[in-house]
Amino acid sequence: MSWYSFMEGASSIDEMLGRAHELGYDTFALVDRNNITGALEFSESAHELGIKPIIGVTLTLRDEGENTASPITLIAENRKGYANMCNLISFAHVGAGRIDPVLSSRHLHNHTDGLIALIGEPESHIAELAVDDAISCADENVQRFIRWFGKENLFVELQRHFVHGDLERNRALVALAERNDVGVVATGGVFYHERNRSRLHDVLTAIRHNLTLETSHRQRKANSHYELKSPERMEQLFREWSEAVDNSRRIADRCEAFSAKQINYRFPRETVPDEFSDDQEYLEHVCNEAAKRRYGRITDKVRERLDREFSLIKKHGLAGFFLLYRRIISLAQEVAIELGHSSIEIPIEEKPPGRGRGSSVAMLIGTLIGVSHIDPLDYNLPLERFISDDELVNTPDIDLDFPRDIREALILRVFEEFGWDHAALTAMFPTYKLKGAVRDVGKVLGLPHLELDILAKRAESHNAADLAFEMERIPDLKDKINLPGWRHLVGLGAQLQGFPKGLAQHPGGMIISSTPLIDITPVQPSAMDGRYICQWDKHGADSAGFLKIDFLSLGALSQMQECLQLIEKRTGSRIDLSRIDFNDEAVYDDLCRGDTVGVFQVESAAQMQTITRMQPRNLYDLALEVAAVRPGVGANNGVSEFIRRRNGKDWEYDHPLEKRALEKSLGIILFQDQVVTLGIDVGGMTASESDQMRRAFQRRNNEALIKQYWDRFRDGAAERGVPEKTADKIFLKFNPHYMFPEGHALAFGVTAYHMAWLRLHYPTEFYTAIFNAQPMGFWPPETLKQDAKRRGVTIFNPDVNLSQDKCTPQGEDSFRLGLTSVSDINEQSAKTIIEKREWNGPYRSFADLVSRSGMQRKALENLVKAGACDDLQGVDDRRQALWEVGLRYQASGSQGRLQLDVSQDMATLKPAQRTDLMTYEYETLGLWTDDHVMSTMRDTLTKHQILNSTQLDDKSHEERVVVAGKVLRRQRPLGKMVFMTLEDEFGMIPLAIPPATWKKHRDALRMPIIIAEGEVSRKNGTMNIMVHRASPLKPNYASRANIPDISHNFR
Amino acid sequence: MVTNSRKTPGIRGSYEPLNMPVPVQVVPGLDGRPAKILETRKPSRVEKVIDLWELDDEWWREKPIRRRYFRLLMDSGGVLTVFKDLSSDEWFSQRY
Repeated sequence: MSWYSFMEGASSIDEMLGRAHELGYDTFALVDRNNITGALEFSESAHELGIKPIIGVTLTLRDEGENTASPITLIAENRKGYANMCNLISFAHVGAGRIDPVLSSRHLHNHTDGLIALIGEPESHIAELAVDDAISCADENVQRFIRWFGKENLFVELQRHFVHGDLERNRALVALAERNDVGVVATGGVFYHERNRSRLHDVLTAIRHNLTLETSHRQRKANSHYELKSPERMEQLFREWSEAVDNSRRIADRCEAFSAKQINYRFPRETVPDEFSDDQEYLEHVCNEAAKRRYGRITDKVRERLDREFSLIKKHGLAGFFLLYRRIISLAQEVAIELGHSSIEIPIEEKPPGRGRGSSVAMLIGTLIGVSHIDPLDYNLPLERFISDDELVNTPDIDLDFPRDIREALILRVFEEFGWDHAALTAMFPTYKLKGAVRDVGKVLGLPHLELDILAKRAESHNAADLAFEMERIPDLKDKINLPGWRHLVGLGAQLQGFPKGLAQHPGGMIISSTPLIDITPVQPSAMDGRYICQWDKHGADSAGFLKIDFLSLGALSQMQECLQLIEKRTGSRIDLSRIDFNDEAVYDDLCRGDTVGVFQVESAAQMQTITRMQPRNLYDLALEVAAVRPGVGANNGVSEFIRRRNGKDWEYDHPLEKRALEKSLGIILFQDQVVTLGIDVGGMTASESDQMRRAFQRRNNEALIKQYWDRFRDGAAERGVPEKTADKIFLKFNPHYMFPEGHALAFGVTAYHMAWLRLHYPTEFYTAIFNAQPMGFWPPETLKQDAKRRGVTIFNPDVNLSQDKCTPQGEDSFRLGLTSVSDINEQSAKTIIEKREWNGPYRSFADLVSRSGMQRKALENLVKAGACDDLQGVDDRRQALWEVGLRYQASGSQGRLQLDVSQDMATLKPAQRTDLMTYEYETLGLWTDDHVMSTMRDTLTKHQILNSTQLDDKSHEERVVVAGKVLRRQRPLGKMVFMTLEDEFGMIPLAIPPATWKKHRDALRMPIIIAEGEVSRKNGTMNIMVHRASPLKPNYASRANIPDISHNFR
Repeated sequence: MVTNSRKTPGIRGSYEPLNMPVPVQVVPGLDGRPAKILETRKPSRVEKVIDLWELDDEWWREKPIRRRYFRLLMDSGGVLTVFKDLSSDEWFSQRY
């Protein structure tokens, strides 16, 4: 049993196999509960270790109307058995629900071919009957299984864990087996690879049952002897019943080794019209027609590329694959037309409903069938990373980004088109990280909730292995590290790091098959109604060779789509983004200034810093920029070196053979494809071998594998005359961190340009759309508002008589916030407010609003605070209006809401001050339409020589400054220096906080508004304040700001 | 943290825990298994260990439980269950 027996198995597959290898096993079976999620990972790793892998599963068997449920273990003897196993797991899940799958004998007895069944495990019903001497009942039960499986395929399981009763049970089970003439088999009943994981197993058991350790006595095992035991130890333990150990060996020999090849997956085939002889001819026809439409005529360059791609597709038999993608894209196009985002007259290749990402963008055919919006010929993109002449090791990947609404509708459309037995979403596994480990382990240990909460919230690391270090930093918890419960939390938390919690739905990966899916992978219902997931994640789906289509939802595309619709609404003309000027100097000027808030891919603080140094002046430059700020490039300090070279620094290739791979990026690896090309050109590998090497870097526990690739690379390089030292230098540039493929960077670069172009030329529609696409997860509404204002766009408060549910442009240079911008007003409430005013005319007064809209008290108060009632008759002041809410509001269910006169009960309140309005709006809108919080304190700040963001422009390197602002974000990219961005009413201030400062001023730096003192650091055209000291800043609304006390520290 | 949340509540003497282990003197053989039980009246010899099991629990408490149990056939023909506390190396008998 592995950690894929969720909340039960306490070791990973690698740990289990590693231990099995050490103990000298040559065959090993993985039997998880209710799933075979680990099967592919297990078989790959086992093959690498020279162990023969066998797959099994434990299911719970219970018939309708029966009270007794009993576990049964099924082992796949061959391919047929594997298919039956997948069927049975699927039936157990689909029939009985997602949480507690149960198999009924109705399904079991029809799917026993190729399966070996083990019955009688310690807590099973049969074992109980045998021990209780209920002979006839127990025999009857066994006979039933014999009828289904046949005597030769049924075994009674014996286990020994040094638990009281083992001996008695095993003797009773042996007698049972003898009476019924079936074999006995010794099994491990293994929950962990080594005994020191038994405590984690106890913890998992308590978590699974939602109990604490103290209250889970019945559920936990009696001792820590459920570890993997050596073959010799097993022989010793089962001396009395040596046949049981012999039978384990016999079963192991009978079973075929499991591998991905056993999975009989076939791509779905597309129907080919009669006039074409096969799918290849049909695909070529489709592409040639699209090429003629796109280019007017097929030029030699296009012909040459198409012929090369056609021949590769033919060689690998991928025509059906591309035709299937075309069908998916056609479905997406139908959906887009139905949603009003496209029109039937526009050919797919001209306006694809989604955008390709990943290495597939390198295919011209991709552009022609509508899976990509980039023309690879424009950028001379190499094909190797996507597809090559070598044998196809993995099915090529094509990922598609869609606007949110198209994606949602498309997933359902695919289920409709193919059926759930032929299409399912891939799974993913949420795993334990620090926070989850603290909460769950802490709870079962009975530690105080309040302190666990402090630890979970204040810890910075995501890795539970850092728990001791994190506790050390929190004053309230520092002294507890060595107390018994907390000490266990630290140790067990670290062990739990990375454990999968269960099976969830992947955001968009879908697999489609022409053979029924449940013959090749178990399928189970997802948490969302009407959707089904298979039991493998995307790596598993990859290994099984499944055609996996990633439908990803990209908020930026939704935003772009809405922006274009708003522009068309105002101007009457439809913008075709594929035909805009891609050399618009003004767009590049914005980008080069780092003026990129809200621009897809280049809006992060890191991108802003890099883009000002990179100075992109064309689309390819932009692709380089997008690719540069990735962990895989940063790992070798590649970004800085690339920028230095770009700005004229002398450099040389480590070897001339690097030229083809690295010419475009000045000798630095920026793209995944370049690793592949280096493997080919320097290491003499084939394209697929080189791509496998690239993937090997990303695998866990890959030391041995990397060593093999290094040997291969070094030898290949030596044959090409590359000295070992140079080969080593080149090989060292490869790393496990993520990088973009070149085509992907281009695809994203183009989308980034589209966004920057729209932002420059149509700011009102751009900002309206970005507000409506929130949450986008990047900048908060306040920052977007400030940015819009700087671009001359005015933002109006919501208005109960003028606002729609979403934000809407008001003329050319302003927009009004939608009603759903107000907290506690959801789409339904907004709809009600709008419908009531459309049916019976605008709200005439506040009393009218309260009476007709039927809003809840909190919603009414928030509308007032957000300024949505400012223009109603009788509303002169928001504070006064809040008082009126209290007088007029009557809970639903009370008698009709009459508009009675309440003037006699109105108090005379002090009118709301500007800072009150600010607080109201931050509270209900997340922004203050009128101004920025920092401006309310500006006078005092200035008096204390605290600078604003614009005053930093003329400060020189190493000059001491004090600044203040609202904290926008904190990042710690490499775990060392912390980077923060402050915002004031004029712009942003980047801070760099050295580890020592962070440690000392951590609490202050974590406050929402701060003052920071430091030195200006100017390097390579970037500016940061290197912070020495920091202090929180609390606006004091009565006296505008209470800075004097705090700023005193900075004198 | 509660040191022993399972401690029987109430006034001392009002509840009697059942089947509490009783200290017993055991002479182990070379293999560490009980060979002789020394009781006040007459020592008895172990004929055979007929079963063996372990308890390993409550590791989060100040005093975890770690016991190795032996079910013994005595030369008298009687059956006795004893355990060795693996933390203290002390022997106890307990009805099972």
